Amino acid sequence: MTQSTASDFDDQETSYYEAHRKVYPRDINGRFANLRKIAAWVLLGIFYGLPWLRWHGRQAILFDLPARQFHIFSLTLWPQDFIFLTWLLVIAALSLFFFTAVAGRLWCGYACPQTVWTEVFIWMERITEGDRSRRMKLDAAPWSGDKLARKGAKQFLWVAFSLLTGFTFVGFFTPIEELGGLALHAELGPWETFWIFFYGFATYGNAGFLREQVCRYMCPYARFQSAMFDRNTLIITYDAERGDPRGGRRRGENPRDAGLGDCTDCTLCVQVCPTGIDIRSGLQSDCIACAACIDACDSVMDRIGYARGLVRYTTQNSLDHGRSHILRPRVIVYFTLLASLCSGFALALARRAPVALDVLHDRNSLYRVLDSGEIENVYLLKIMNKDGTAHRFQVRLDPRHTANTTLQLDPSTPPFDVPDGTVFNAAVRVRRPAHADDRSITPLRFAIEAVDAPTLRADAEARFFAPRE
Amino acid sequence: MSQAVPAENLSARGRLWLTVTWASFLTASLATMVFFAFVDPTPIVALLTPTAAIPTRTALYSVGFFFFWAICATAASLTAWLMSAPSDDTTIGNERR
Repeated sequence: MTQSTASDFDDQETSYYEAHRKVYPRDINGRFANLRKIAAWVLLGIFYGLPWLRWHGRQAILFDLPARQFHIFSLTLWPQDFIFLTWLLVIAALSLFFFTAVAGRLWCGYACPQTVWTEVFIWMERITEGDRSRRMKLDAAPWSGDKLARKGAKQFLWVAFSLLTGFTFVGFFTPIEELGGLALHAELGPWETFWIFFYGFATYGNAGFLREQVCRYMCPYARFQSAMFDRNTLIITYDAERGDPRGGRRRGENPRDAGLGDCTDCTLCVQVCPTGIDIRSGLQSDCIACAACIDACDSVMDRIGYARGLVRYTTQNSLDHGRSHILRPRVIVYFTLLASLCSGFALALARRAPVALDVLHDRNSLYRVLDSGEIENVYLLKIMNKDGTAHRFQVRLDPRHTANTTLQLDPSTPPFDVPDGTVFNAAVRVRRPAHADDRSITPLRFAIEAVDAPTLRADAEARFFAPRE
Repeated sequence: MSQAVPAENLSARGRLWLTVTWASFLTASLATMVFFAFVDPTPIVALLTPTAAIPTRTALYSVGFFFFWAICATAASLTAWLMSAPSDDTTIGNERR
């Protein structure tokens, strides 16, 4: 981009940014600011509200680490379902690629927790310390009662909000109602307390203190997102052809007569930028595509009666008077991969075995010889019920597997009631009549079947040990 | 009060430390997630310390996370340390240059 006029901005205000001091983003209203606010309300509402949602008598979303189970509404995921979590992360990464290729850094501008929480923190800063110019004055002013009160109020809001965030975060892993009760009575366990403060501290540090520096120095995505960009990707940019040369003008004056472009060089786009960059210098890696500069510029264009869109969402191609294509190989490949992964995920989740069986042979003794001469083995059956409701399971030996043996399940073995989302440990005995067989090791297979739903079944192999005869 | 520390103003060493801490935090989180998805720590601890009371899983996961963080930070700092080429004047044999 050409910069043909030396502007006031370059002479005076750049020092604020080039030295990388604190960025004081100016508040702005407009279409995209509204979109961002809606996104922030929805996302924060989900984060703070979701742990309080109940579903069939328990917390709807609970990543119950102590019990090694994830509850997501009716779905219960076990450590054995780890593949689903991995799968989900791959889908999330690929969605990021897809949306980045099509629409640029949508994630950064509207959905990234860093952006959303920073906006909340800046809002708190604004209601306590005032707007941009008052904040700058306040920081430059010597300490006074007013400054102390304003800064104190801000810190109080920030710390309280951070702790609420930490508490909510831990509430996704520990039942939040229980946690709330413990917190009210100051009876939290040491680790819950630690993680609330740890996450609260991270929130405070990231959203209150580091802000745009997280995006610039810490975010891996910001570093590699350019790999997904091409000339058809939606970017936010300044139309230099229309705007330059920049400069102030009198009301009603035709800028072309004065040799000027449409940019009045008001620097509003710079003042609203949360990362403190000048969008007019072209596409920059520091730009999180929050579109605040579009709102700022549109408001100025409206006021002076010029067409909107001097700073706008566009593509490099259309900026160069070419055509933009949404469908292109990169997008098609991302979309195909994404669609097949998503449908595969849904299918696998739907077909996930709702019941599982593990068999452990009794560790203490391989076998026991009863008074009657029968040989007995004891097994521990771990019956996992992930079906969503309680079931009663009947245990038997799989006849296809034990037909040529004389093994028999202890006839007094009762059916087992297994509540939903639990592992039931059942000790069962298998016997062989005396002198019926001379094998010292016999393979066998246990099968379980829900009494009320015969399609719910699982089986597992084991071995029967006997003394050599 | 809330004057952000400009990263450019940090010393190179300070930035290196922050990068090492941050990168190892990310990798340690991943390692913790994968490891404890497959391994339940309680039976192992019960086996190692049969007499002592077994800590809660939350405590074990937390300790595990810091363990992974320490390991990852060690690897990252070693990498950072070895990446910096030995400067001429400290290289053995070149002391007097």
